[in-house]
Amino acid sequence: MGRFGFVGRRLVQMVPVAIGITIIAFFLIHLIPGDPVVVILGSHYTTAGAAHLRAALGLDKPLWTQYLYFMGNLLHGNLGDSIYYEQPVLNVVLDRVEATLWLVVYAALLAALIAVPLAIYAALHRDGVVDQIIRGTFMVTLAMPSFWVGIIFILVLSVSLHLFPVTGFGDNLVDHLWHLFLPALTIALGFTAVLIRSLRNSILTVLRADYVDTARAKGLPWRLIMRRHVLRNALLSTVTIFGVNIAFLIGSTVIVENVFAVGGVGQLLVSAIQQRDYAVVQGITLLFALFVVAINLLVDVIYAVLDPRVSYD
Amino acid sequence: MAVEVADPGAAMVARIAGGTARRRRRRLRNWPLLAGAILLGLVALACLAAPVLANHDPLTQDLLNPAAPPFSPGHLLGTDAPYGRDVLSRLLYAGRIDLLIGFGGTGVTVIVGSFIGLLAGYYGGRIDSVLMRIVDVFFAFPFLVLVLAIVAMLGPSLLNIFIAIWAVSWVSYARIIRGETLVAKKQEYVLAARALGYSDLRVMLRHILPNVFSAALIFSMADAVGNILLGSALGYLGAGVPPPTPEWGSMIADGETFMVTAWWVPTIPGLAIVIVGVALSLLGDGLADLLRPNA
Repeated sequence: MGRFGFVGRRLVQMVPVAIGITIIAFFLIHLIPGDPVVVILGSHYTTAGAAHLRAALGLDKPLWTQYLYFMGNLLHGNLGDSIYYEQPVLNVVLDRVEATLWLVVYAALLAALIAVPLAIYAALHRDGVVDQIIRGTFMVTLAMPSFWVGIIFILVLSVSLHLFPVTGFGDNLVDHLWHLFLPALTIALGFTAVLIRSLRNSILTVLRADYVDTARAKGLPWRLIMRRHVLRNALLSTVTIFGVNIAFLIGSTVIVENVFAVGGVGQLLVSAIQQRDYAVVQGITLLFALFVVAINLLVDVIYAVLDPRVSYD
Repeated sequence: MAVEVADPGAAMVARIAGGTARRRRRRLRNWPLLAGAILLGLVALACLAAPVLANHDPLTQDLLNPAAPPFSPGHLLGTDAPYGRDVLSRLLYAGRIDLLIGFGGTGVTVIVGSFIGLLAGYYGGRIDSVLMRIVDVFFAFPFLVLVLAIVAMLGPSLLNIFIAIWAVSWVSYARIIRGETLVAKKQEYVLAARALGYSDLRVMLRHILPNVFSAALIFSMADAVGNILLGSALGYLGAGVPPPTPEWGSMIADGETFMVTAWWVPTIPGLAIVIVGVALSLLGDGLADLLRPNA
């Protein structure tokens, strides 16, 4: 069983969380003041349509029955229908998922690329001038709203210097990388601060460990020690930190996709809110949360694979 | 000072006698606390005194003078485009809203979340499992997305923003305080209190809470920054405080269209957010140094 038992156990632990997520998503629609059917249909209201929606949502039945309707639909991949696009919510979301996934991965990679070298340097030259500058700079970036940073980037790099396109997603691989660079950088900037702080701390902890002293006593070259012990543990921490912060990364895409008009799920969420397309709002919220849980499971598995000391509990 | 190590007694006396000077020096070394507190105090004071400091009404439009640059006569920070409203006045009044969101959001969630964390940590067992499962569920949602969805359903207003933040943000404190309580409840003072027959509530509130609260307090600074960023993000996306009430995020959104011709309109509110955020971070770092000097 071993490691597969670990995965199995984590999957079982996830079930109540997943159910809890669906409960919260379910209750979102019921927060709407007034008659949900009237509000949902908005200007598309017809008596026949209203009756149909009322039956589909089971609004005349007790609450827990409605929840069962909701879950039943969910398990068949039915997240409801978008009033604005007149298509199933799932289709509308899947059309835009590619851009958002690209953005999230790109941002994560950029953040890691920036943070890991800086954190290592900061840890090795602890409390030196560069360390203080790095920590100070990123304390400031942590306070910067991502939409503001994005606007400044557009102003300076796109409009004035014409280095990057302002909006859009691009058509092929290289185009994607070019169009998404600024949005990904904007997200990464907010995330790098957290990453550097945690990484620096864990590297400092590793550097104090017994086995590093042993390695140095054995006369191993510093590069080897860094690569074999420090870097490996640092990477392990990075993976965990990403797992913990994946929710934040996804949340950032909502803002940044709007600033840069990337055409992903985040932008869809905001336009759905403006269009009062409640089914889409509910569906995206649900999907985001389930995605976060899935990523956390993945991170736990990767961690178990990389770190043989993980206890299987 | 000619105190030799050879006389440890005298050294000790000198150390104790010179205590005040050492304490004063240590406090000055904790400059983040001071700097953060002063900066935050200045900003809060300025926003509170908005009716006095602002020389224009934040809502009054001056269509004859749109997009005036900073240091124009009568408009220290210029006017916005295309309405010609005074940026400084709007900035100060908007600050009230954003600071209110930051502190009001954090204030309530600190109390509620900490209490739930205390309950979970103290009682353990099934109560702990259930509460922490609920916490895990909330943590799966990106906070912005959940707050956005709740405000979207309830309708944009300051109260609904508060409701959404309160409903979502308490989980961070619950998790932090629960962890601290698990450690604290094994300490002797807790065992002593329980042996003396004090009620659970009294042990939790009068004995454990004062010792674990520093963790929540330090985190609350970062949380306040987060709430301000959250509130301004809602304003930027058009889902926050409805216009024409000025709010830093919506000011940035309004100015975005004119960022090339009137760069100060979106830039200045952003700077305000950064300044407040840095002040709170400094305050948090200073508090961490003060309350947990070993960390």
